[in-house]
Amino acid sequence: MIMQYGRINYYILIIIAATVLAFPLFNSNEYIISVMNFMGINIMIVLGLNLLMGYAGQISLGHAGFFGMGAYISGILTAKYSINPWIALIIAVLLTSILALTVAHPTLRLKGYYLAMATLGFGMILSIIFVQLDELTGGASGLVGIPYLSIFGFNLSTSLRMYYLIWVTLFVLTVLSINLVESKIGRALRAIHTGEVAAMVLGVETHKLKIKVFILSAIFASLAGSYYAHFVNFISPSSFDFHYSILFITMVILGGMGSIWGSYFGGSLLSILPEVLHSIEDYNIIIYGFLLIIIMFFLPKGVIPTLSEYISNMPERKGSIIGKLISTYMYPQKGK
Amino acid sequence: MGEKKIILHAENIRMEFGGLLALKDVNIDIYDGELISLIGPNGAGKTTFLNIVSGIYKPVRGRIIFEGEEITGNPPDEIAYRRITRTFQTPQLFTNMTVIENIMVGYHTKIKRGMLGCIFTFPWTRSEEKWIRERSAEFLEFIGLADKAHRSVTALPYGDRKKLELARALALEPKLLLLDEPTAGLNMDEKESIIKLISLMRDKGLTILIIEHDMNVVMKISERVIVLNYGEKIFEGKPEDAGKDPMVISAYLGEES
Repeated sequence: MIMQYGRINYYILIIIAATVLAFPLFNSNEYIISVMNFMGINIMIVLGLNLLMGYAGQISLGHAGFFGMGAYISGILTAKYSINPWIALIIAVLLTSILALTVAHPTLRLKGYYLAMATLGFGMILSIIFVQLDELTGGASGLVGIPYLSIFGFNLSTSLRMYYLIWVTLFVLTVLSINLVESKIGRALRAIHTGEVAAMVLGVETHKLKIKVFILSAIFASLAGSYYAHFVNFISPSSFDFHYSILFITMVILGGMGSIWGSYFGGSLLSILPEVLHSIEDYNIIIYGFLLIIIMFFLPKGVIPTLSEYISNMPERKGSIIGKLISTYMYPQKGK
Repeated sequence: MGEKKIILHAENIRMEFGGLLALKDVNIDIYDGELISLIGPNGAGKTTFLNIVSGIYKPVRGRIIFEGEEITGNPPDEIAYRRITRTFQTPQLFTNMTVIENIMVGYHTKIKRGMLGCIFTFPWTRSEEKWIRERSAEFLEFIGLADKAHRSVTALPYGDRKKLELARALALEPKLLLLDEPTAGLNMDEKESIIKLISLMRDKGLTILIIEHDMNVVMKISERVIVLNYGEKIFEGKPEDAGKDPMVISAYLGEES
């Protein structure tokens, strides 16, 4: 029965996936579907960033840059050189990985504020490059004419078609992330977070692992960027600047550091909230900021970890059905 | 002692921090299977020596030979792969993990699977995962923390933390275990149970270097003692002789000599 431990995350994923994939059957409103697409793209980035930040404890203020790398490489190669979008996407992932490796090797030796500053600088350099390399990127006015993706000749030209591509990809990435998190490497990453020296003396190759997870999170962001470019068909530097790096970090922290479902929650909430608050135009920024403060004040660990802590303390509460479920499936050793 | 094999040979170890000499050309040999105590007043360089052997510091000069191979200046994780590990004066536990997960990290070197291998396999298809979990549970049983396996380590009292850190180090199956004041800050009962654990390990043939302040503990468990003072080795020999040595007495009591 011990092997049951940990499967709960896969069950949660099946429930979420079923809900999301069935959703368009009930509501296929163009606007809502496209909001959901942006949400999926955001969660993809946040999921990767959470592996880096929430698990390994290494901050990156430059992830919008990797997002932009994916978008621009895909965009340029397809719009200007008519390369097959899937090949362009793979090239984007490869180039982003190489860049991430180059950046990670020196910067991940830094800690705390210094790492934050270094990655911030890196993100800014990238966003300047997106503007200044105008022959390729179209400069500040943006890059137009990015084609749709297609699968076996089937053109993904509507929001709904992209919806399935984005979300199925996200679910695959989520499975891979859960696999990673619930492994020896996942434990090692969390160990780096709270005790780097202690992890080292137990044989954890901390620097190598930090680089690897940095690259992994850059790949998630690059992939999200490529999808973004092919979904909106037009990209401009303002979508990849420093503000977005901050936004992604906010999503990680709000949802919960070191929590897969925290990434989903944070990514969803901060994708939907601006849309909902759109109607009260003048005050939306104030409400938005106020909500963030309230959540961080009362739930400093983030929404999902606080919630799951509450639930996992339930076995001690009498007669709770959820408590019993949890104690059977999550902590079977406690039972008999 | 002569017929015993030397497992670790530290030669002319010199360490400086900004012009301050922490270790002055210290020579220390550790024999296979012995329990050796490193004692001395505060600031004598004991922890510095431990940091050098475990790879956290790189010595300014000198060599460390472990099982015939030079390991001077190797990073800690490489040294851990050679089965040298340590505990810290204040336990360095992973506070974002449960009690059992802390021990599981100790098995890191036992599994070859890398990051890609982990990403592309499900947890239940990895045979080692079950093995580690079972072994870790056994360890917890052994140190008497089985009922707290799924608690966060932040909920543990200090004594249990010390024990857990020791168990985590043992999970690596070290050939040489370095303990930095394993009984510091513990009450009598807790001390007793840690000492019992350490003696058990010694009897199983594990080589242990221990930094200890409590002379009663030193007398009780160690076969050999090395005394450091201001970065110099001033005594090496049987624990009962250390108390009679004039150099040692003056180092501890600060007598003019």
